[in-house]
Amino acid sequence: MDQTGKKIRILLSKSVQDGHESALRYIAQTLRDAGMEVIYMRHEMIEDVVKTAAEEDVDVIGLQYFGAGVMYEVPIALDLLKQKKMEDIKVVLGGTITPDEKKTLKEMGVAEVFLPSQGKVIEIPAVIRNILDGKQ
Amino acid sequence: MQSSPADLVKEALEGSIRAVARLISMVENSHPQAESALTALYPHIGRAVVIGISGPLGSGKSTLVDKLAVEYCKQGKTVGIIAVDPSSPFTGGAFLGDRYRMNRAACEQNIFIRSLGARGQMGGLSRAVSDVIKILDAFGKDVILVETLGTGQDEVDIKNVADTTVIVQAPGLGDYIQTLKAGMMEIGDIYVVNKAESIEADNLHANIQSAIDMGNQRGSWIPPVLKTIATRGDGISDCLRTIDEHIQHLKNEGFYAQRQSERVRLEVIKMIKDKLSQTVDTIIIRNGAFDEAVRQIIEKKVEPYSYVTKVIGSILNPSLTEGK
Repeated sequence: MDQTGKKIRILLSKSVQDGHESALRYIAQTLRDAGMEVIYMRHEMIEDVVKTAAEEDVDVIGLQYFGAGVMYEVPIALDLLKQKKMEDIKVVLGGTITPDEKKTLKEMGVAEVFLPSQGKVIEIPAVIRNILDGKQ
Repeated sequence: MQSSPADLVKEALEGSIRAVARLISMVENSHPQAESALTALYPHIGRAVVIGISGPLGSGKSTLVDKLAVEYCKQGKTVGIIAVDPSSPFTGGAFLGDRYRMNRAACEQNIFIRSLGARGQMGGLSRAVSDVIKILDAFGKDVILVETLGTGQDEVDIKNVADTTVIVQAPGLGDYIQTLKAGMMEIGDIYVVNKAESIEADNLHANIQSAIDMGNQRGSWIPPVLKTIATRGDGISDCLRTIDEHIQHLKNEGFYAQRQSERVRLEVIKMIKDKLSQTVDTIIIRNGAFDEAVRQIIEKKVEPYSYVTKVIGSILNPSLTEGK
């Protein structure tokens, strides 16, 4: 297979304070198996994620929230991306986020929020490709 | 991409992290203007010291690289890290998890980390790595650490891109037989036994040392065998000092110039091979006549060797086959 063309690069992270990791690993593996390059990290400060996204020239940032913090961290991330002229990077979220929070987050500019009951992990790569193709 | 390659080069030279990252992506993705960007950067390269860190899975390379980077930072140096991980030969995807270990809180601004998938190179280094090194060099990094799983093949090999190659081993990955095998155990300028807190570490250290003592020396540098506990930071400053000694050795004995000449030679060969490979792809394989030739070969109307000779002839002398 031709491996020298463009690949989708996605940065996955969760806060070091969030104890749940198996979900994120499962998603990482699914995205890898779908042909994407997954950069995997954890962050102490949400700013770390934005800096890493710049260095790694990612197309998408995926953040997991199984604890508190989504309504605190995500607006900071979106704001930083805007300041640094990195708004072309799409942000997607997953975890224990409520439908109300999802609505607010999407209004703020988050591209998609994967709620627990919403669908299967195996569908996520296609959703991401659609987002990047501008169909969503 | 909004900025043109020329803009990106300008912004990178002015210190923009995003521009550097974009240039790296261009090179990785074989962007049509990657070459002109690299040509524009070429006058600015040549300052950086390149250190290759290779070794088996789980030996602790990422942790070691992280600690070395922070140590260089404390010395006032700026650091670039290139972490290469395998790409799936089936899906093309990759899990780039090396930076999970790297925590440079103290040195944020001075350390740039980029993860690369090996993208088709089973030996562990992507073909783009030497170009990515040039970009980080031009960006002003004093030290560039390249971390990779394998050692590579021929022109795409860690020892051909690095000034100093450090091989990191850890106890429990095999017995003394492993230390005698060709390849990884021949190319190290420095050997590190990491996870030295383990009881078996001394044994491994002794085995590597004896393999070196009994081996044929290639030149006047005898590879030292160091011990580290990277997670604790033990042995890191010794490691750094030994790397510096090796670099000094290269510069003193004139080997630096010799290695550079060898490196450039291999790199140009690689570039020629890559270009030819692209030509084969675009001109031959995607050409309907090729499919017909394959059919004829299967039906034994044509045998493959003379077909190949004819095709190569037509690449080298296109005018002879006009109107064909």
